[in-house]
Amino acid sequence: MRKYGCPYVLLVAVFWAAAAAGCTGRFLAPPEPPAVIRNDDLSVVTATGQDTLESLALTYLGDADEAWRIAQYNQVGKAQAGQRLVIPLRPVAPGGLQPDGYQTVPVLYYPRIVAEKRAARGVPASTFEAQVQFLRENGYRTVRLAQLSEFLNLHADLPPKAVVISFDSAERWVYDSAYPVLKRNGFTAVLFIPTGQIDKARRLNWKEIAAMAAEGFDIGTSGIDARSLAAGPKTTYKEYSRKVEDEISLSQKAIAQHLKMPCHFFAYPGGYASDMIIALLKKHGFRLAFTREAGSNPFFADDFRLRRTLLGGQETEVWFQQTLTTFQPMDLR
Amino acid sequence: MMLVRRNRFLLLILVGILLSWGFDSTARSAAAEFQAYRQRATALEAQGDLPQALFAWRVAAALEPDDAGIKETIQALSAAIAKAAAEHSRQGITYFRAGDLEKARKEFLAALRLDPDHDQALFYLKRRLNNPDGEAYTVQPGDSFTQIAATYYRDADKAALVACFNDLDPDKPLRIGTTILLPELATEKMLSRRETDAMLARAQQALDEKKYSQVLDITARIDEKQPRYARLRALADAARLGQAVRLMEEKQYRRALDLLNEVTPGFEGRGRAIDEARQRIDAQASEEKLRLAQAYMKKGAYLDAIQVSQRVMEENPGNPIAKTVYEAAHYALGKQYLDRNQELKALEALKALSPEYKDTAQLIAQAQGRLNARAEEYYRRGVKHFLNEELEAAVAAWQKALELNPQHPKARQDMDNALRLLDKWRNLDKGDKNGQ
Repeated sequence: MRKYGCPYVLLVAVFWAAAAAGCTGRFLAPPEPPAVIRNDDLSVVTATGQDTLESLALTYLGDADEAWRIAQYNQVGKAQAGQRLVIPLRPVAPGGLQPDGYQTVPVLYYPRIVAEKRAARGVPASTFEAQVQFLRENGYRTVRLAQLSEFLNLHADLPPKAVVISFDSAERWVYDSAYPVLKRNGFTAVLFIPTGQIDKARRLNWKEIAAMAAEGFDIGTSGIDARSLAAGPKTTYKEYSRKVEDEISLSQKAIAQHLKMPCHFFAYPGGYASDMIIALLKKHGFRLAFTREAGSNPFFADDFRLRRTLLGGQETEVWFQQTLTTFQPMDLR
Repeated sequence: MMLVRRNRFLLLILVGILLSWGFDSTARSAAAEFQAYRQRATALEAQGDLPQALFAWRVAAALEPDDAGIKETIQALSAAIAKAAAEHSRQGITYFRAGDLEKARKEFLAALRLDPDHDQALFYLKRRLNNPDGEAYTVQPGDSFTQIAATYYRDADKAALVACFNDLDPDKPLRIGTTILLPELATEKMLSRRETDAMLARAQQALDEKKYSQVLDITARIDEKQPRYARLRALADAARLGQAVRLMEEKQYRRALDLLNEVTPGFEGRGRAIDEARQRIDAQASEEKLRLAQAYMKKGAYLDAIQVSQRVMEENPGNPIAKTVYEAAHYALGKQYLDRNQELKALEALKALSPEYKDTAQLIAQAQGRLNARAEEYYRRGVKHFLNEELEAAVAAWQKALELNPQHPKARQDMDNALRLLDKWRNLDKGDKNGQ
């Protein structure tokens, strides 16, 4: 018995110590930082076993979709139990400005999506689905136009691979082909509708549009009939400006009336923009307007001459992938 | 014994596991966490990423709120960031005014990366650089949108559009000094885009053929119907500049300058052409004066020639002709005085020249020699008077000698002697009279 005395004493001591550690926290650990630190700029938290980046974003930023901010600042893919994480409460790089360049936001514009591959004009639904899947699998995220507007005025930053998908149409394919694909992939889009065509035969109806809006789609307008707003040869200035103002304000009113929400976004029919149309859009409280000029948008783009990349169906996979520029290098130190 | 040894071995492992659990790496101590952000901030600062460095300092400050040093660091860094941003923005405006839009954009971006609230940089980047051709107007005291619309569009009804285009409320008064962008707005008798494009193409062709007045005719016609058309102004400016260059070739510099003043400031080549026209006008004026000076020379009016050529030299120090005339006139004048035995005046004229100019040194020596000889003559005359006890006459003669040659070896001493004697004489004379 005596022989084993010493080890037993040791064993008891060790287990006592272990039990003590279990009660007070870490055995022999230095003093721990407080679990949550919070001020106007940031929070510092210790993730628990139940936490994910999304749950932390929901708790501290008020929106699970903002998880990318935590991931970006801490350079982590997911939260681990016991991990200390900094949560920036304000944009860390407004406008996507970095020392080595700036963010650009591609706005994709699909004029038409068709069911079959044989159709002459338009992107086949299968190609559209492949493109949307590519975006999802490669970390692209669709953003709302209100977010884009904040970004364009340096009030916010966007996820690094932010993209906007847009349609200017009241045709059935929007609801029948494009909408389900986007929904399946957790994406949203912006739909610019010619309000005069809604509820007509073989066109979208207000109920469908309201359903898309409820799913987080932005609803903008491209006028009543989506006719070009370029001046005719013989109109007088007064006639012309009244016509433009009608197209803008009446379509805006129709949306407000049917969807019970204000409309702040415009797509120039045929892509034709001018200072006069811009002045009238601003007069009626529009915030963003889209052309059909190709290119990606940095924060300093003109809010009323935003560029869009047209996808007509002839584009190759490689071209599609290369067109999605989300960063422009430039030494800004 | 084996069991005990094995147990001891197991115990050691157990203790080891427990100890290492105690130092679990995921639970860093407060001090270590604080240090990590300190280091991160310092590294970012060294890399020149000041905004991210500032944020890392803020994290560090949140972890260690009692550290006064960090608060100071944050304040100093914030101040440095604001200063650097202001400097980038200033540089951007300089580039923008010089027409270098790419460099300007880069500076404004650098300013906003540092300070996203820098309104001036944002205004230039978003409004001015997105409308590089758009005309800007700075609000003056007494301005209103109505009045600006009436002036620039000949249509006061466009006031609201101008206000909206600038994101301003048309019903609120304008703040003096605000920069207003003037949108391109079509007027009553609007031209169709096709018509305008056709006219612009004709104007461009006329410009290529250097038919400048034709360009100005066409642009004036479009302007009447559709003002504020940026391409139009560029064409008119190019035509005016071309016309001005042509006028300068014809040496009509004044008319060229008038035309150049109508070209939009900042238009490429305008500044250079204005400088050249001004220089030519100055040169032309100098040439006229020099012609006058040369005419005076021919007439033998050397003093006038000197005066005119001197004025040209003051206006244009490098003018070689002015210098030639100036020197020739002085030389001729010096010689003329020497011929007339006016050696002092001759010397004055010749001393304006370098001794190396022609035989100037010799002429100066000659004049000086003649003066010395005449001084000697007066000196001797003075001695003669002195011997005859005509002291006053002697003093007058020696004075004359000194005038001609201030360095005369004996004249001054002798004259002083004579003056002393004269003084005594006069005192004696007084005493005699008093004694009587």
